[in-house]
Amino acid sequence: MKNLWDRYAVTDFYDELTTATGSPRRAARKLVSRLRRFSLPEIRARQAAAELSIREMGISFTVYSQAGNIDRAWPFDIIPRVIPAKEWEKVSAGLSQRMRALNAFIHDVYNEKGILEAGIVPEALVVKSGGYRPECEGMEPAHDTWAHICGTDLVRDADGTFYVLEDNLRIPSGVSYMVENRQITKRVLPELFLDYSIHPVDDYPTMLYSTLESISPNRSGRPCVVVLTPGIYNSAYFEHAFLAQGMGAELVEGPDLYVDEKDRVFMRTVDGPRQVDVIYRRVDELFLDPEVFRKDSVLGVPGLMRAWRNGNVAIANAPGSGVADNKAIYAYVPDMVRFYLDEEPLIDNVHTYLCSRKEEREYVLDHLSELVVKPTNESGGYGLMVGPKATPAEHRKFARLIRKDPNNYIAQPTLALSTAPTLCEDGLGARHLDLRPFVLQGAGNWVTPGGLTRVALKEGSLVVNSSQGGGSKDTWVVD
Amino acid sequence: MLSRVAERLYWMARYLERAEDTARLVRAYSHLMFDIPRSVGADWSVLVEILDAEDAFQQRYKNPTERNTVKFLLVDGDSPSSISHSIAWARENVRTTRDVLPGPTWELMNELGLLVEDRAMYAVKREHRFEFLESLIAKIQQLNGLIASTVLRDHSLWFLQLGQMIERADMTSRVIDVGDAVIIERGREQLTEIPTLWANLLTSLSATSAYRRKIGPTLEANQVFDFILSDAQFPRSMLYCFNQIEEMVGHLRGPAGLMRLTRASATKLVRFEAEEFDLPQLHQFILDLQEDIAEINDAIVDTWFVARSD
Repeated sequence: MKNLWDRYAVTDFYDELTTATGSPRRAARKLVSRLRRFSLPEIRARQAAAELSIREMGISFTVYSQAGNIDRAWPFDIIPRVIPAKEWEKVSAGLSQRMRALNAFIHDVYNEKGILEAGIVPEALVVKSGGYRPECEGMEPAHDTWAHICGTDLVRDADGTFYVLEDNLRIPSGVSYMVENRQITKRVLPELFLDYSIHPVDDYPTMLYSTLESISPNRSGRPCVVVLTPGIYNSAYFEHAFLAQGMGAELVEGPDLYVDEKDRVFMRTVDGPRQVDVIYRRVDELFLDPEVFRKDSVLGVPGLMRAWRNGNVAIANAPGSGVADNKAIYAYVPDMVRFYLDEEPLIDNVHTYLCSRKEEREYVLDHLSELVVKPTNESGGYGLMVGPKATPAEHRKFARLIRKDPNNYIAQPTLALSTAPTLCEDGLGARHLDLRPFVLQGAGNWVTPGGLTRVALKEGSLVVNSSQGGGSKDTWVVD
Repeated sequence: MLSRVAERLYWMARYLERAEDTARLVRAYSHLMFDIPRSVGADWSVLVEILDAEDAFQQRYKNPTERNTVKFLLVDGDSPSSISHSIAWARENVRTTRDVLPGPTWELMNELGLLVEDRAMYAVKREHRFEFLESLIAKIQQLNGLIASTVLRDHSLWFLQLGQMIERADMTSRVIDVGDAVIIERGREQLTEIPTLWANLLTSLSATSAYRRKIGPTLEANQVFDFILSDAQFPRSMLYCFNQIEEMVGHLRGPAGLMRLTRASATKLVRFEAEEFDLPQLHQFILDLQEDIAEINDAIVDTWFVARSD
């Protein structure tokens, strides 16, 4: 009987660990030679050990369903993904460049409006983006930085090039799983670490803390940093607690905070009020302050926007950052890099057709069965249509939707997402994956080595979301 | 520290202590029942009475058989007296206070949850019961050890200890009251015939070795009462618990009213001499102490857990 590895079938897609001829890529050679020594029952035993670790470590995520909220164990595949450090350096530089441009754009939109006046990004598109907040006009947050944390979704196409699929600038999640995945691999496959120098990922909470500290309005002594969570039933509560613990910060809910008559933010402690300097908010901005945004919000803090506008508290990501997190605005990011930084983009966008432009709309309507159509202001894979997999009825439905509200739709070619060997029923199977690195910006700018790899566990599927049957992998950047 | 977090820590400690004390109680009582001659007949309903859970028990089960009683106390998730209920709530409270607890607390708590989830049901049977209870007690002690050796000496620890001591005082008072009830039932003169009762009572409070060192190996009712209620050095005695509560309230700069309340209970215990009481009086004395505990709990809630914006 052949060993586990030798039965792994090469596919037409770019594979993370093997070349088109089926031999291991250079950076993956030592990993593959280890994997060759495993039989299926042996690797299954390791997978079972990983699953037990996950239960013991309490790594879970919440799935909302009609039957109530269910806490599910985090889905994890034990075969790591390997990226050579040299390749990662370029990606990392591209992400860092992109983050600087995005922040310059947000700052510009709420202040000088240079890029709008230059006619590079249409003003109407910005104002109608759904993420634009007139309440933020004229604000100048520390270091002119609005988005301090970004989760960028990357995919590889058939030729192995990385492309940016999305910049998540609102409240991106997943970073705790990136850190925990490494912990699990260390426990269940410790021998793999003998062969490689893998860039560590567990300093993320420290880097996040430094970023938040650098935007504190209070420059004397250790600032009071809090993580604001929507509460213990939120699907990402695990991560909120993880990050608060990792930073030694307080984890608070809206009702724990209040704003006084001098527009300062306090938290209610057993010793009385304590002033808060920096809020890492994991609450959607529309729920942040019922005085300004949604009046029915019980998750927020009345007066928080006043406190922020008066410079008494820093909020990360700043309210209004979402203006740059929109699939139509996304199409202009390469132009932003050129406009603000006077540089050429180091990492590319996926080609994007804007339905707001007549010519491009016509093209999209003629090629619906080949394209992926996405609403501009949604995230998490909601409301999109994958042309090649959709029925003619769905094609007609989206044609109607696009004609009715062209500004709300973009289309992209169906990508041949890369694959990686993943443990399945009968051995290793090629499964599609993406990558979400996290970029931090405050006084400085920092990119995680690697990121969170999400993998579609179903054969042929492109859906990597954990709420829809996706799993994850440890991601190694190796020297 | 946030009021909300303080409250969760307090309850986490209470639930953990309750689970541990219930495990000790079931273990000690199982031992006791195994010693009782078959002709006398084992009475398992006492366990339910100790926890004041007769109504809840009767809603679910017809007869207080060994199986029903132990199942009720170990795995009946709907019953607030069960170990599985206590552990589930302790875990929920750790889940929501992870930011103030040492990292490994969460992992240990999950191991504890898995232990109960996977094995508590089998422990209803005698052959697996002790192994399960031993593992459970050991895991909880591991968790307490972790807390004792790594938690900052600040609000985190003070609220945890406050919760632990309140719950322990309450559970100790319940256990000692059983001895009292049995004696009333059988008459004081019969007492010498059931020394196993006292031995097990001490065991269920982990007091055997301490009692031997301090008083000696002979078990005498009044001395057992004195020891369990008012020994200042034994860390599970009522007096010790009240002294600790007072100390924690002091650390937390609690209000004078709460200090007075705690002090009054402690003074009552310092002056206590079992000899001076007849049995109904003793029973009443313990009931009064339980009321003191409830009153102190209410004062703690009012002082720290009701959100204030002053």
